[in-house]
Amino acid sequence: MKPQNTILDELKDIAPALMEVGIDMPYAVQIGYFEQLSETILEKATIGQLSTSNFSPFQVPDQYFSGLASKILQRAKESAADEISIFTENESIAPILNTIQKEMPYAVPDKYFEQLSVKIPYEKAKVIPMKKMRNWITYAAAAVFVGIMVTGSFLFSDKKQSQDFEQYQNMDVAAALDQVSDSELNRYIDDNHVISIDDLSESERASLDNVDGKIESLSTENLNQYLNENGFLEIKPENSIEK
Amino acid sequence: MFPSDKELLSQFSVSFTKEKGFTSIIQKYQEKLYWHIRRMVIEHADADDILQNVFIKVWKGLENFREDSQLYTWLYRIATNETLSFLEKQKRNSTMSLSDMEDSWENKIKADAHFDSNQLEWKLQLAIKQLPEKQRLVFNLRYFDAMPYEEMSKILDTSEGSLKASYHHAAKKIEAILTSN
Repeated sequence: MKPQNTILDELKDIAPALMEVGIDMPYAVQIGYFEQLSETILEKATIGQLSTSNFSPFQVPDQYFSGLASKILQRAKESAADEISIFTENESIAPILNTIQKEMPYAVPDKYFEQLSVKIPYEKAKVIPMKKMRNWITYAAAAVFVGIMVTGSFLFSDKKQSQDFEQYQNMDVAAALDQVSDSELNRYIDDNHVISIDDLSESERASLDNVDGKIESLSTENLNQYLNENGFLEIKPENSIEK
Repeated sequence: MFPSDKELLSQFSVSFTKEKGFTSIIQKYQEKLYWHIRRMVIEHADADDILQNVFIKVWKGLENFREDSQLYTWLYRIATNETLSFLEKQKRNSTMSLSDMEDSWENKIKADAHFDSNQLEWKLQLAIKQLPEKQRLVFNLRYFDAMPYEEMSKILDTSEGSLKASYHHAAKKIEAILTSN
């Protein structure tokens, strides 16, 4: 068996992030398992079960062992990958962050976590007199009936709906942004000196142009010209939105 | 070692093991949630109050938890919302100007029993406090909790791209503060 130091040196070359991971086994073991194990085995040995059969008193879920090794390896790789990913991210944005200890420096009262308890708010069940409950049910039924009548009249109205507008509403900008790689995003922010709206004060945010107002003031012709130049569909007068 | 979330939810769903399941959930997640809150509010007493409120909400809401997200994502979300509500309430009830409030936060950090102005970890805390609230949240979750952007997106209900940009701004700003001091 290789000495521990050689293994650590090997790990340092292959996957340095794994050096931060402890070697303690994280798996759960029943309380008192080891204390009772010798007794259990002795008992089985005495009645001859261990020597004559493959009987095991411990239960394991069906299909447990098949694929176990690959599942554990996958989880270990994902965990290591997350750590390496954050380390690399910090190196590219602000390397100083990788030199600072991550333990919280704040003082916590002694035994705070051992003694933490939450007062569970037990509520008394409300008692509703039967007569009042009957009135409530009557009012609820009336409200449902009115709701159905109103909803039906709305659904069967001949109000025009625009189909094209749905296309614009369905455009998922956030999903498109998610497809951009980290390096491209970082490069874009740095090269274009992009500022975050979070960094603006209240007065600065209030002075930002009201974009919606400006769009509404543009003529359909001007909007169509912009949309054509940028590869979007035109707004057709007969499908305009009714507010 | 704690039971899996599935086991804890199962215990909570049965009336005679409900309190045991709830206690186990507290023990399993108390430190993570505590530090997530404390990094935002600084003072232990405030963090303790918020943490208590979080777990009371968990007690009331867990039976309706749909398991369409991880339990810890749901817990973090409650803790984040409670923390932001607390900070908003503090701002509304405060008669201080913005710059006075910032000084007040700095004083709270410096009042900690372990504070040492020479240690980089404390300079980092002072720098983080200068970030806008949303950036502070993103930075803390990424830097201290090593949270993947995918999970953060579910907690903060923000796209991954926006979170990456937010972290970029936050990290750059902190680097500038630390290297100028």
